[in-house]
Amino acid sequence: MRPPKTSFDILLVEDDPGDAGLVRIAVRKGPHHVTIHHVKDGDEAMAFLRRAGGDFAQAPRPDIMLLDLNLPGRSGHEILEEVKSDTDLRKIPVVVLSTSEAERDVLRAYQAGANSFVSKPMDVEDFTRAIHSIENYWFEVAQLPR
Amino acid sequence: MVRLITTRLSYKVAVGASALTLFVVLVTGSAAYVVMSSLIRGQASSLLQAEAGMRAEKIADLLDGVTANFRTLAANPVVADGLADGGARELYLKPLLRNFAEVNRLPISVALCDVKGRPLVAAGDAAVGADHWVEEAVATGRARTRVGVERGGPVLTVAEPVAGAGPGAAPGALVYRIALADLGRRAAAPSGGGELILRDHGAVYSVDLGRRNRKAGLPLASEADVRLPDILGGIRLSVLVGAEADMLDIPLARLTSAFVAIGLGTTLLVILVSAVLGQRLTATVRQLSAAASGYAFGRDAPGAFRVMGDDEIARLGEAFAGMVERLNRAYKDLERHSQTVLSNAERVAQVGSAVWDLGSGRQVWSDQFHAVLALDPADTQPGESAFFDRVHPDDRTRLSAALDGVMSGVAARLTEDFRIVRADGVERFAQLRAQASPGDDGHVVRVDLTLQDITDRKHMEEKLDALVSELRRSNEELEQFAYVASHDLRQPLRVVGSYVTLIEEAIEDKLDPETREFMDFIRDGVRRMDLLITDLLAYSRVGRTSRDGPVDTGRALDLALMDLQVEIDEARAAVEHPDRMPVVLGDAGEMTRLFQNLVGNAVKYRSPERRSHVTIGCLDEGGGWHFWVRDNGIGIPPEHADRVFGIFQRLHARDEYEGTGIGLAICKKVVERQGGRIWIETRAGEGTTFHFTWPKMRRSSEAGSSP
Repeated sequence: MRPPKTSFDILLVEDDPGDAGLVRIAVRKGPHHVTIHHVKDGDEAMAFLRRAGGDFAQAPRPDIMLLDLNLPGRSGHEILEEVKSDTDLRKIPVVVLSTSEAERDVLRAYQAGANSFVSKPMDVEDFTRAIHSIENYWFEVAQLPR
Repeated sequence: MVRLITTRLSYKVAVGASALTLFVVLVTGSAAYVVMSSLIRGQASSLLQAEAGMRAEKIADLLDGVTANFRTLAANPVVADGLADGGARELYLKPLLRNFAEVNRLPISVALCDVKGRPLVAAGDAAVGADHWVEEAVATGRARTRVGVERGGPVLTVAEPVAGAGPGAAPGALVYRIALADLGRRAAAPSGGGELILRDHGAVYSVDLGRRNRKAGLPLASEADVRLPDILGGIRLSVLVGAEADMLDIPLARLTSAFVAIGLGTTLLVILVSAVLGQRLTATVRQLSAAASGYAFGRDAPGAFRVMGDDEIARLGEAFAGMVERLNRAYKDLERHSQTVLSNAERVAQVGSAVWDLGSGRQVWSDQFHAVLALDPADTQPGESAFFDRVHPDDRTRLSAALDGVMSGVAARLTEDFRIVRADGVERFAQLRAQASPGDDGHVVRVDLTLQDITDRKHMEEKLDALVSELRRSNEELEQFAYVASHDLRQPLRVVGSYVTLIEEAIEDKLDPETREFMDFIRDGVRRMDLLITDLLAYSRVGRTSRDGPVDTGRALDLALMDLQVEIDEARAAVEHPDRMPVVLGDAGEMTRLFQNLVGNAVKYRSPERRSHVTIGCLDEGGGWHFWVRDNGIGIPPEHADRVFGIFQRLHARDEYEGTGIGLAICKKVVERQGGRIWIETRAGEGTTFHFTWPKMRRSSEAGSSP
């Protein structure tokens, strides 16, 4: 048994600042001590994960990754596929957060190895609850391989 | 086959005639042989008879002479004197005896014997007398004849008593002997054979006459008795004359050869004649047969012909000629008629046909075949080159290769579309179909072709293809739009709604009731906008994302009712549905949505005056199922009945009944996509019934056969 963690790192890949703000607010209201690392596209996300470039040389390995699908440049699907085919990164849980409820998006995400697919609820309170359950599950319940 | 029939017929005639001739020749030949041979035999036999008689006469004459001489001698007194007087004997009698022995033209011995039979005086070569029977002859006084056998063969001896000279003188006997062989020798003939037979009290003696004969081999013989003088009583002498084998064999052999030669000659002649006659007789039949065979098995109908003569064959020929003429006429009529029908059909269908005989390389094109290529049948020599001249140069290689495949038997048929350059210079699209017909040995001997101008169809197909790809593109665009809408339109909407809520929370204590109401309007607008977008998406998705299969409508209804549980409970509505519902062909999600929208509507537009009651039913109508959802709600004014299925069509103010106006449009789209029909039956204030029909699930074996 490893000692229980007290602080967590979330990598948030989201180009919409409004949405990113909603995630921050939801996390702030939650019970965990969480640092949110916010990147706006796939290039930044991969640079963060691989600790490439000056900004991310000291980047921590995130406990979970929240991934939007609709991103500028590479789509969320492509980023997901890249992470899940990288032997170093594939163990990081990826939760897809998307407005899309399209079946093809859900299927493709799970086929690429997404650990969860959460469609963003319309209501802000529902959204907050969704984020909290994500935190609860991945920080408290799931035993993650390191 | 023709040759076989006729040669067999003439052959039969020849063989029959020859056999008959041979039979006649054999029968008549045998009869003639029998008659002729018996004639020859009779002739030979009478010849022999005459010969035997002649020789017997000769011997009789000889013996008559001997007997006459002997009697003359015996009567001479010298003989009687000689008995007693020895001197006289020697002096007078002896010359007499010698004379007798010599005068008779045959060796003869003679002696005078005493009473005891002892010879007193003799003449001739052989010893005579000294026998007791001579003594008996003397004693009895009667002449005696005796046959004995000596070294030289049978011998005939005759004793004649002689009285003594004067009374009391002792008698004696005059004896002479003749050898049978000597007698025979005198009777012998220069040719032929025979024997002299002497019969004496049962004893038979014989000597050959002339050449030695093979008695056993004599095929013919004749016997004649020799007339004997009295003195030789008691014996019988006969002459047997036989024919030599040659005498009969040679004429018979000649006769046989002559008959065989005549028979063979006749038979050969008859064979020859009958063969020629057979050929000539069957010539007419052969010609008839050839004509019939030509008609029966030949490619071309025979020409009319006439047969001369008035015999049975000629009449048969006449009948046949008449039949051929009628057949030809009927055949030509039929051909003309079917040609007319075919060319009419081809003209109407605008399909030309052609037959390609690979053996001769000859092609026959119908008028319409020419017409498709705009060729004049009068100026065109149908053939491979004439056809390929009209094929567009870019398509020649492909079409030629495909045709080669059919001709070589690789492919049994082909259907090829290609361009033609017609004789009038117009470029058109044509379709060639070809089918190979194999001969008895399996090789292709004929190819049947049809040619059709398909330019109009081709243009139509091109238009259709363009339309289909346009439709496909527009569909893809629509899908892309729907996807983008679901994501990109809702995202900002959600952000707006969320931040309004956050702002409201942040400044809650500073809000006056009016501002709070404004905030509510914003949130409500955002929510309705989101609902509209999702409903619109659902509408656009119907038919595009559907996966048709067997759908249990009972299960679809259960799922719909489960989704509507909150609304049903809220309305305290009673929902009734059949226990058993059919399985139909469709998309399970769409079926659930259909029931969900219809039952949802029924519950939503309930009358405030009575408890909501919803009845779902279905009925088998043979060709399809008839479903309905009946409520006792507020109903719809008849003038709006047709408008309810229009998109975004709402009949009520938002604050009365909430809705986007898309639900029923989705229902209509779902039902009509399956070939069903949806309609309503309503009375304002009393309730509404939604009906829809659903075609029955087609079984896979019937797929395509029913409309």
